[in-house]
Amino acid sequence: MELLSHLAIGVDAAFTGTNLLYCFAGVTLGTLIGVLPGLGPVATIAMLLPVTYGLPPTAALIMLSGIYYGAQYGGSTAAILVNMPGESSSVVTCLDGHAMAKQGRAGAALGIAAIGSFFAGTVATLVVAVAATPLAVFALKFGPAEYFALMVLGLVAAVVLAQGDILKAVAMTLAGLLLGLVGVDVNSGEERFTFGLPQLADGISFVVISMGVFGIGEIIANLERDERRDVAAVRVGRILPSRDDYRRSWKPVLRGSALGSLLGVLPGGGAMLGSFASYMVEKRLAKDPSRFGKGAIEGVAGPESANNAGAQTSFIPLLVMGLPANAVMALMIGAMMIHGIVPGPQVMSERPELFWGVIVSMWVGNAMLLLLNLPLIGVWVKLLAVPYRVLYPAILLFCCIGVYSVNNQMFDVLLTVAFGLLGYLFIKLRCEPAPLLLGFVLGPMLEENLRRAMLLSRGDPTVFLTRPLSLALLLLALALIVVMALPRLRATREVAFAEG
Amino acid sequence: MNSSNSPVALSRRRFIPFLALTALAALGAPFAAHAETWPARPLKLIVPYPPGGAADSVARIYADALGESLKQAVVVENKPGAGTAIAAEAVANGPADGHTLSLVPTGQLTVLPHIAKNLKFDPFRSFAPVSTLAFTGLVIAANDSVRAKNLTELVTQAKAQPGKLSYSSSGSGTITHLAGASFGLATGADILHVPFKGSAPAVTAVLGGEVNLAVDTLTVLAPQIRGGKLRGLAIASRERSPLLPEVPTVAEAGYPDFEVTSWFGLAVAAATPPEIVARLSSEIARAAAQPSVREKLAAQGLEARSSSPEKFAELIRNDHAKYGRVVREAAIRFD
Repeated sequence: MELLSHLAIGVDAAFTGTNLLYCFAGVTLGTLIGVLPGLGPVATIAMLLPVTYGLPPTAALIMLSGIYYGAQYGGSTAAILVNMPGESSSVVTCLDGHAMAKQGRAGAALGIAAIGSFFAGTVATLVVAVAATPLAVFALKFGPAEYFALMVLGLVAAVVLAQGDILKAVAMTLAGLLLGLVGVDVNSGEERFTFGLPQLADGISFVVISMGVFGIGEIIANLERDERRDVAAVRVGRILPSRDDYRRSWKPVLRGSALGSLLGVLPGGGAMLGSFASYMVEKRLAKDPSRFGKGAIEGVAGPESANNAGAQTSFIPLLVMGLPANAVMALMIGAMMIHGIVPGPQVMSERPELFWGVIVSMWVGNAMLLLLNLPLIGVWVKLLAVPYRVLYPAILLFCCIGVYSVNNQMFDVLLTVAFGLLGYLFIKLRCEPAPLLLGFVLGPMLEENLRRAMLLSRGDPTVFLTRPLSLALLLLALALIVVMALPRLRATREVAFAEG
Repeated sequence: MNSSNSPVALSRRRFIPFLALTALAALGAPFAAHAETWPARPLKLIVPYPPGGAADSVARIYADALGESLKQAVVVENKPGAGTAIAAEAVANGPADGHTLSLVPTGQLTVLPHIAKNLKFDPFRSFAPVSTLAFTGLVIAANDSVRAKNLTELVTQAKAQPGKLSYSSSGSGTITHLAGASFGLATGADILHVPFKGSAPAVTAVLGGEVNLAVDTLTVLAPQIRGGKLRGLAIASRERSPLLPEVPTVAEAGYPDFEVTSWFGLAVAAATPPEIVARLSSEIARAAAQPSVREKLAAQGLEARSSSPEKFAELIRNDHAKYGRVVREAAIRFD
């Protein structure tokens, strides 16, 4: 019953005219910047921070969080339509989402992404309201050893993302790991592979690599093709998912919501881990895994639900402990402090209207996003009919603005161009860029936590096996390797017998 | 990369004489005459960290106040990277016309020069210090795994079991790391340093019990201590903080000379006309006295405090010498 009274406080706070207005402003803006490739919520919220000085704190936080999860909705649009993941969490959406768009099923992909996101958002809002405190405790249980084990599991599973040659997928993952090494090493403070360039000291930005390898690489490759054929291929098709699409999607949406809610709580790559884990699970559970990467709607429904759920539950460490799980949450802290609210464990009891108001507004915002996005799908899909000579320069322009806005550095824009050429090379060599990006994101976390765990255990490697959570994750990784290797071994043996 | 804006590039065009002359005049003029007409256009305040942290919020609070009193917008520009070196180099090698300001965190001019190679700025010669902006104390806090109830007990426990206890910092070479290392040197306690990428994961690790002690600013730790999640053992300032009145200073606990303070200051490029520096310094003094500025900073555990350019220069020199010693004695090296 306590929950009901808390939710009542939240409803009171969220359903005032002003707060509804700011919620709407936030989600609309979020959708917009999410759709524009490269422009992310971090730069937008940073720019809007001064505007929130004049707002009441609850309204300010409601608007800023609206931008964040609104961008998750919009981000999937860019991934599906033009194969550009603006956020690490929409990398896997590119795989099947863009494949669907190429088959003229962009509307269905966008529709299921919006509906799945709404459902996941609703679930995650409930999770935050009911289980914020226990989940925060769960997140604290994740020490360096557990993170290391989780990253091992993630990297092993990265091979699942591969559509073609396993060897190429492994190579791309390793290349990603190497790119992730660039920059100052956290433990020793030494610079690695920076060639003396201070711009590389903090490593290469995710946006630079994803915009370059996915976006610009794809654009260069498309220039070779005959334009007419490509536009014709993108028949607008039906706007909304079909009955069959729903039948295939409802289970992935459920599983994605659960996975996303749980993994989103972990600081670091929360929303990204969720979407990736969901894709992996769906591909494993599918009757015909070979459909994945060629436009399987499950590969959009699951991850999109997971990343939206994760975006929501990543508020938990901030709301419960006052600790930001990612750059956007750090900005939220900035916004709270400007209003004299000190983020910390006491916010929940001292400012219940803020805490519960923000939580209820998440659900309101998700409902608004659904209403906003379903009618917009028609508009987005028509964008695909825009001739490339108009569409591509516009995309490139937004890419440059977006990349520049991350660190305010021209260097990053030039680096993106370099990665664009690399991306073109990858397309020519038929190497999938998704495992590269995963290696790039997971690798540094893997190394950092491996070394931190070893530092804390004073050099004792058994720490990974004596901690139950870590052991369980490592065993899961081992099991995955066995499962992946078995059919192959059997197949080669059968071939060998057949020949013998 | 910026050579395309130079007069040489312009003079290659066909109408050489005219353009070259105007360009030269435009370049030479600011040093002579512009102190009266300053500020001629919106000012840029460069922050060496991404948006969202204490540095960013100090910058935005002062940018607002300065903007009002100068009748010119002051735009905060975040230029993170290379442990604040990128921002410092941008200001040091940028135009010295008083329109580009630099938010200087403690480590940028006092720690970084001791540990980083190939810096393209000199901590003393590249900048004209303007004023300090805000100060915050560094706190040593413990979770429940630590038996010690105060600093003396902590030192005893650490000496009894060398290397058993650990503390988290927000990164190698940051002021939190330097504070931990200074503490080790001053007390002889052997406590393991565990660096993280920023304050949030560093504090999370202590809350989760992975690491025993946290060393960080009042801004970060006061909420956790007041919320009962961590125990404040000591504050490394000269005086106790009104945010945590029950936490004693390190000096009270028996180490009278021990002080590590995190501060933020304002500087401009060295060649900026002295009149502009003086004007900026007096505007900062006015802003720092405003109740609205003081309250906003105080809520984050920051104390608004301005100073003359000379006093700020002295602070930089003293801290530079102090942290140079710590870096050498604790053998903190990046190479």
